[in-house]
Order: sequence, then C-alpha cells, then structure tokens
Amino acid sequence: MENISELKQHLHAIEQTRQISNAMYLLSTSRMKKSMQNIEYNLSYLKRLRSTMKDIISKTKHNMLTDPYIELTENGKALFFVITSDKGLCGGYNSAVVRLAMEKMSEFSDPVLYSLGLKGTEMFTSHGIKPDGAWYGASQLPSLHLASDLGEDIISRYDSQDVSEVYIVYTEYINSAVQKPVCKRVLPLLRRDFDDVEYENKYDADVLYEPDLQTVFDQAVPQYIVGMMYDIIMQSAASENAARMTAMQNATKNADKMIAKLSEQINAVRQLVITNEITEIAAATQVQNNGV
Amino acid sequence: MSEFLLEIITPQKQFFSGMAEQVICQTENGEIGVLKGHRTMVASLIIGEIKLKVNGEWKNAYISGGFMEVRKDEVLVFSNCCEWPDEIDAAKAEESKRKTLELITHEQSVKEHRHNEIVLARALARLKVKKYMQ
Repeated sequence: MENISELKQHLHAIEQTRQISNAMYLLSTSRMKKSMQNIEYNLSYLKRLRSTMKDIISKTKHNMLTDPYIELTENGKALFFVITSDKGLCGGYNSAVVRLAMEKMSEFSDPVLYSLGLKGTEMFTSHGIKPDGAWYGASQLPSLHLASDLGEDIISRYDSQDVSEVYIVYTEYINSAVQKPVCKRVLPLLRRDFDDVEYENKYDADVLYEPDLQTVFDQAVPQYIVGMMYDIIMQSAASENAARMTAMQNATKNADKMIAKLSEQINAVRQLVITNEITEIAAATQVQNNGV
Repeated sequence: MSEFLLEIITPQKQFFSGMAEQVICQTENGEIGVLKGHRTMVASLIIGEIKLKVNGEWKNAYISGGFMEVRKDEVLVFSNCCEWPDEIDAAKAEESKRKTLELITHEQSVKEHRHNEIVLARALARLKVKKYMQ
C-alpha cells in the first residue's frame, strides 16, 4: 500500500510547478503581444523603405553602377548569424533554429558563425562548433539600439571584404501557433529580392539625387539592413514567447492531469485505510463478544 | 502658404505625420529646404537637425541621419532615430560628448576613429537641438 503522506507531498510539488508554469504562460503571452505591436508597425515601415530601395536599385542598373552591396561575389566566406533565446523552457524553438543553421552551413566551406543567444551558443559548442562571435541579452530586450549595432557590425565586416555573403537564421513569427525557422540572405541584396515589391508611387523619370546616386544608395543600404535586423530580432522574440506560451500551456495541462490522477489515488488510499480500520475494529469487537 | 504631407518614420514609430509648409534638412552639402511642388528628389541626410514649419510655427528635432524622399506633394523621411527637444536627455548627451572627446585622444584604429566621430556627432547634434529650444 502506498504511503499517503508521500502522495500528498508529491501532489503539493506538482501544484507548485503548475503555478510556475501557469505564471510563465501568462507572462509570455503578454510579452508576445508587446512585440507583436512593434512587428506590425515595423513591417509597414520596411514595406515603404523597400519600395524606395527598389526604385534606387532599378536606377543603378540604368546608370551601370557597380555596387558591392548588389553584386554576388562567389569567392568569399559566408557569415551566418543565428538567433536563439537565452533561456530554455520554450519547446523546440532553439533546436529547430540550430538544426536549420547547421544544415545550411554544411553547404559552405568554412563559414563564419555568429550566435546571438546563450542557448544557441551552448548547442553549437556541444556539437563541436565554436561560434566566432557570441552575444546574449537580445531575446530579453530586443531593442532598436541592438539592431543598429548588429547591422553596423555586419556591414563593416562586409565592407572590409571579410565575408561576401551574410545569412541570418531566425524564427519567423507566422501566428501564435505557428513559427517557422528560416534562413534569410541579408547581403548582398539581389535585384530579384525586390521583385515582389509593389510600387507605391512611381517616380517621374527624372529624379534628383542629392548629393549623388551612389551616396544615397550607400546610405539607404545600412538603413534598410538596420530596419531588417530590427524586424528579425523582434520576430525572434515574438516566436520565442509564442513557443514558450505553447510549451507552458501544455505543461499546465499536464500538471492538471497529474493533479487529478494523484488526488484520485490519495482518495483511494485513504478509503482503503479507513476500510481496513473498520474491518479491524469489527473483528476485534467480534472476538471480544465471543470471548464473553 | 500651401502645404504638403510630411511623414517622418523610424523602425519603431511614426515620428511625425501631418501637413507641413516647409521642411529643412541637413545633407553633406549643406541644408536643403523643401516647399510644396519641389521636384522629385532623394537626398541622403547626415546626423543633425531637421526643421519643419507646421501651421506657421517652426519646430525642430534631432535626426540620426537617414534619407528623404521628395515627391510632388508628399515628403517622406526615413531615419533610425528622431527625437523632439523635450525627449532629448541633455545630461546623457553631455556625458557621451565628454567621454568620446576623451576616447578620441587615444584611439588606435581608423575604425575606432570613425565610430567615435559618429558618436560625437550624435551627442553634439542632440545638444544643439536641445539648446535651440531654450
């Protein structure tokens, strides 16, 4: 027969865990909603920026400008930027990103790896890959400041011809139930990346560039990269919280099931104890009566 | 004076959206003033100040560079960071200026120098915009 006080202790522990998982569920829900608002606004910003970029890029073709930002050079290293979370308890969020990153990285010889997020760094290290650069703190506080730091870093590495391609592996937020790990090329920009952009306003044929087209384009690219980085870290943060929300929701449900099962068990054991006691008392009484 | 639609946007928020009579931005080659009916233009902006005339009143703000797109009756400014004078933390800017001026004396690489220059330009621009209001 099981010990009733042991069962009670077990029940108590599960109740406490349930409280924690439920609190984390509520917290990640509110965090996710917060990043959602930023994503929405930033997407409309990016859309307008892309439409301007497309116009400038189509001009560069006519002027026969060769620009390092829009030319694909074959003979260089690829930089991979992998975005994961700093904390666990978010289901398969981190492992999915890392898996995709490793798959894509195997297509290149000697890729450079930047890892943003403690979990990703840990996972890569355990697979025997040492990241060339590691950051943390982004998933807790995704800020524009961080995005512009990262963007500037990427551009300066690209400018110094350290790397010739930059890819970012992150989790795209589709909705609160679906998040998809994706690998996105950030640099170089290719003309076909802008094929899907609708012109908001077609320019007149004659546009004045101040001071000149090259300078404007060189200014627009970092602007675009920073906007994109901001979108990417916000999407990652929203996905992380959505993944954690689902994981914690499941954990809470499981805890509820275990609590119900344990309570049933406790009741059964208690009933058994009482039955036994009654039987004992009855038997004792009978013996006593017979003895008289 | 006739008005045009002016929008100043950053990745985080819509900084300004409304009718304006004139806008003055700083570029590498100096200030550019835009009135309604300006020819289509795309201009790259430097770290500094943006001035806009709304309802006959001049407002100014700090801008961290970016670029300006001028269409027939609409002007769109893309920037990473914009702040009104009352949003600027003068003490923080002063501190950043002091620190960078100190760093500049013993910098070691061109990259470092470029970085310090940008940080200093931001601090100075913020202080200038803040003072302008007082």
